Amino acid sequence: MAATKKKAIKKPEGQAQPAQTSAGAEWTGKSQAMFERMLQEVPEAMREIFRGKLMQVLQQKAGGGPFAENHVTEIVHEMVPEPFKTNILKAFSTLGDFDMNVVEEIIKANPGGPETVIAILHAIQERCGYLPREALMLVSQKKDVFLSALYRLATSYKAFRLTPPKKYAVTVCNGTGCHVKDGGKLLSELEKKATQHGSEITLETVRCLGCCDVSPAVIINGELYGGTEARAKIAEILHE
Amino acid sequence: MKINRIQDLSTMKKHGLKLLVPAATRITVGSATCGLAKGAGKVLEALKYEIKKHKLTAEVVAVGCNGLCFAEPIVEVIQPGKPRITYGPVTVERVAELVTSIKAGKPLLELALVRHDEELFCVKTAPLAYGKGKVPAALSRIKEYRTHDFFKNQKKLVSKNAGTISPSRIEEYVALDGYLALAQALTEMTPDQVLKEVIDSKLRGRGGAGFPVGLKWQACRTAAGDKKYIVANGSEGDPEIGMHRSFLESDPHALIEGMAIAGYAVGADEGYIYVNDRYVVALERLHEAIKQAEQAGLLGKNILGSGFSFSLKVKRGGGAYVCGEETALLNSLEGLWGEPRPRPPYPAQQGLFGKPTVVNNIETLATIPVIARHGGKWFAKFGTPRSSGTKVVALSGAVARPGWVEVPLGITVKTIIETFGKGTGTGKKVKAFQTGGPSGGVLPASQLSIKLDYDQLAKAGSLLGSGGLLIMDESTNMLEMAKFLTDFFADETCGKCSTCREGVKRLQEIIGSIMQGYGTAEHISVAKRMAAAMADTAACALGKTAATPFLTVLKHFPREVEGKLLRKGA
Repeated sequence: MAATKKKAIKKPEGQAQPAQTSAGAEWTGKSQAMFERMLQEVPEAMREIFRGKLMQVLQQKAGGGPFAENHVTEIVHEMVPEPFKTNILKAFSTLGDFDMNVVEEIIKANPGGPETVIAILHAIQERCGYLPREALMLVSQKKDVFLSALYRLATSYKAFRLTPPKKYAVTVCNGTGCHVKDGGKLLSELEKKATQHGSEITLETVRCLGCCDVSPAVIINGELYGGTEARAKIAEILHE
Repeated sequence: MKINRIQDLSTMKKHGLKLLVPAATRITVGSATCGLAKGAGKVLEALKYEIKKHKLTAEVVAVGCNGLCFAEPIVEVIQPGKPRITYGPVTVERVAELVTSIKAGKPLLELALVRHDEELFCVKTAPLAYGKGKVPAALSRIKEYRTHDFFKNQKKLVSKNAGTISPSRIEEYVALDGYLALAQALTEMTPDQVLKEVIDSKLRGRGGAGFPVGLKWQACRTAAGDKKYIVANGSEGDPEIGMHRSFLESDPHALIEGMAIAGYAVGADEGYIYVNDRYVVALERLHEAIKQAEQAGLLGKNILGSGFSFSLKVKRGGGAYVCGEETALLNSLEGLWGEPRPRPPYPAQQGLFGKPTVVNNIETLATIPVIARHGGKWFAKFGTPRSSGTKVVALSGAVARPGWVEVPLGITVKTIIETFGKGTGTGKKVKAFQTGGPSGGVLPASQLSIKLDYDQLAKAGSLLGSGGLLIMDESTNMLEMAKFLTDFFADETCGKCSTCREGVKRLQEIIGSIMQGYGTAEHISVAKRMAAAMADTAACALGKTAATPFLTVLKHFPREVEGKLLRKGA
């Protein structure tokens, strides 16, 4: 059973190996993320063929030098038909502020098959604060795991998030120990405050932080607080 | 230092003892997450600053947690020739005062909690005394640990090092006879002999189901295949305890040693430690400990020249309660979503990457060195005939002193709450308690005299689980509690089996309508039928037991549920 499931998630063998996008090339700025984002518009079955072709164009544009952001933008302007062009250019403007090289480094630091992806996702989230789609696409390509399988991991496991966190990350313990000590009340109170207009708070809950002695336990930007201190700290944040 | 022979261990032990019973003053700060949360990091810095200011020769060391979580931050002071004194809570403001008293050679009575005249380093041999002769008069006012409520009722076999040694120094672990069990097993025993000791110990899994560990190992040992794995389950998703975290942060080498012994007995050369994704400090200390063990040659190829090789890897989980289930954990280790696999084949036959695998809980594996060193029969003397040994129990909820203790199995819940928890701390009476995490039954105060052992708890409709003990006082609304626990399962179901996935959802709705006053007797009978279907058809224990909290609340607190039901004609 386990074997068949693995097969379902891994891409069928025998398919052409994805072309190496970064062989000897140097990406500057967000150029690689932009390149990957552009390829997203291509149906998955044809993506690898397009990747190879567009890579050649990009190399010509760069003329042996490093790939720059404007090279990718030029390709989009010259070669991509509407409505994809508008879509892609719009996506470029909201592209996450992270370095694709970092993601590549992380993948290199975790050699091995699909069993390494959870560790990679952890590392990416640690560096970027969340899991950018472009980064997941690169992981999917390098580790030969379907993007949909990565999406399943990223949404099922509670440790991962797909959107950038706000300025204040507030994690409230919703374990039984904290619940008995009025953690439920604290949580609904904070929920109200976090959804206030213009609030810079990302509220998350977690099952047991292991600090039952300070319950109800709250982590605000990595620092642990007990119930009363947490209320004071939140009030302070909202006052800003 | 490289350990090539068993004699090298005693050299390292001497070195370690010099650190533990030093010629100068040793000050330790409890720096597990529970301490760090209360500012242990700042206390450590403040201590260093004050010591420099007073020009004292003293070493300040970060150690783990000794279970006195309610008195964090904890500071211990060992001065040459004097007993070890535990102070707490030592906040940053009190540090200067404490250092002045250390300089004067007098104890700070106001903050002193307990005094250790000697250390029971090894469970069997004579204890090691800190000072010789009579205890100074000034110190006699502090309670000695053998007369102290918190310590005298505990039996520390597995957690004996926690809070005493530095988790990042292998020498200190070796000083307390660490790795001796591994060395003896490798040089003096055959794998079958080790296996026999574990079977004799009657040790049962400390994670939930309570399956005999020896039988699990034997099944894996006899399974066909040349590649086998040992997996430590540190997923610990139960929403009320953190004792594995505490243990990993305090004594990581005990787990490493236990896993290596397990590998030797089973014939595995590779191990994985799966750790809850939130346990950042534990992960760090575990990585550090593995590196040290590798450098010392206690992990790696050809350990102690015995020809046995064992390597360890740490994997961080993704944050899912279901990954505490052994087959879901294996899937997660393989980079998949944590979904239980159908059994058979059991992991002992076909586990990680399709190879025979032993999956044991962290506490189970940390117990192995004690059994290997002192013998299975000796270990079986503790506890009750069918539930042998000791168990770490984490107290949380409405207790005056939350924390963890290690007690022999067979102790009553009442004793634990009264001796260690010191009551509810709210002035109210205990109304109910729950053992074994969210899957456990919610039992009423009238059953407080129940003994903590696998069979008695199962008979009462609960389970020992991984040792969580949650106390609820009279202010708790039981129906609301049942709703909370059912919500937990609705949130954590992996979605594989339809009875569990849909069942918990419907159960949630039923409890919700009862709470809002729309519930009828029909609702209750539907819930009961559905719970039976879930118990029969779900693939793993999560689904099988998801309805337990509601059913036990219904059974033991019928008035709170039935009082809310809509009456006919109303």
